[in-house]
Amino acid sequence: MKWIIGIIVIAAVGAGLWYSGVLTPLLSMGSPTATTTVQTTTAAPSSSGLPTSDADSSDDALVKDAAAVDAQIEGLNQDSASVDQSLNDKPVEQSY
Amino acid sequence: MKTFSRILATSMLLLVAAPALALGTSVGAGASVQTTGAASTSVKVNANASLITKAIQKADQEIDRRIQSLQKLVTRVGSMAKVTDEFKANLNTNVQNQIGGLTQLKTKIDADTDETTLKGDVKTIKDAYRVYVLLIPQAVLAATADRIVVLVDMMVGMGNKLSARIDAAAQAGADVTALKAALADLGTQLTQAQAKAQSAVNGSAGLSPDQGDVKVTASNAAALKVARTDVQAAHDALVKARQDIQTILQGLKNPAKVQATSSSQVQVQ
Repeated sequence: MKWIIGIIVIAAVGAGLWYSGVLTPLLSMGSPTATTTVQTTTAAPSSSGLPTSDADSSDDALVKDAAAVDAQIEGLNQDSASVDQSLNDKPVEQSY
Repeated sequence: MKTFSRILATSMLLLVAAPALALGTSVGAGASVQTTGAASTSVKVNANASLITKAIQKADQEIDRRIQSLQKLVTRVGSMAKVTDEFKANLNTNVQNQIGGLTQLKTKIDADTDETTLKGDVKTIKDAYRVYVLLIPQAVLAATADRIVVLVDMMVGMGNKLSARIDAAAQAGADVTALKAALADLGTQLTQAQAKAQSAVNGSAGLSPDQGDVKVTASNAAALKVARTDVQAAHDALVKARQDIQTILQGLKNPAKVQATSSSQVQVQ
């Protein structure tokens, strides 16, 4: 008898929540019809590895591109230093 | 450019396949302390213990140093952009094997109590150095060449954009002679950088550990030195290319005007 009363109480609470609209946002999350299509415009990807589109030769784009090139050159400086370090490697002298 | 990348990737496969990286850690000999006489036993044991402790410390220092260096290499290899995933995976596996072998060796050395066994393990460190001392520069040179190719691609992209802007400036009446010269030099420098990067990889990727052969040691060292020179030449060319880009950007901001004088000669301000 107790479990029947429990089911009735749970069903009543659920119905109340549904009727009040509390559950509406949760239920709509899984519904395909509830999703909205957001159209975004994305720049064409750069085949050259630049941060801006290959077709964009504006001043802003060139500034961003130059900054990206400078970052890679900085990385190249570190790589060159690593090459020197690797070629001049000195092992710890061993006792035996 | 794609062809170059393919060549680069193929050459680098040699690097992956070349070195035998497994460390031969010999496990087995039990610990034993040899004593020559009852009176001197205690002193000799203490002296040996001190030597062994010192030797283990030095061995650990060298192993830790190599592991740190190899771990840095793993990170750098992971960020390479112009090689295949397969190449990166193979190189990563080889480096991880090396790290695993060194870690295992360190554990064994730390547990060594016998001088003879320890000497053998220390010798393993020295023998493995032949692989390490070649693997690290090979991989670092390959990673550097990879970045050079990335930069060449990027600067070619910028060159195309700058070319369009120079044409537009010329149509607007600007004198673009200097800008076109800088653009031409940009192309020359990028070609030079590309060729030198490829040369560096070709000259270093196929080298094999010397296995104690003095002649191979010398030839490897010479080849790595040439590869280093090639990479430096590529680096220098890219710096000049960057300067060309800057010249063009500045020129586009402040375009030179074509002026007609009273004598009808064209002069550039």
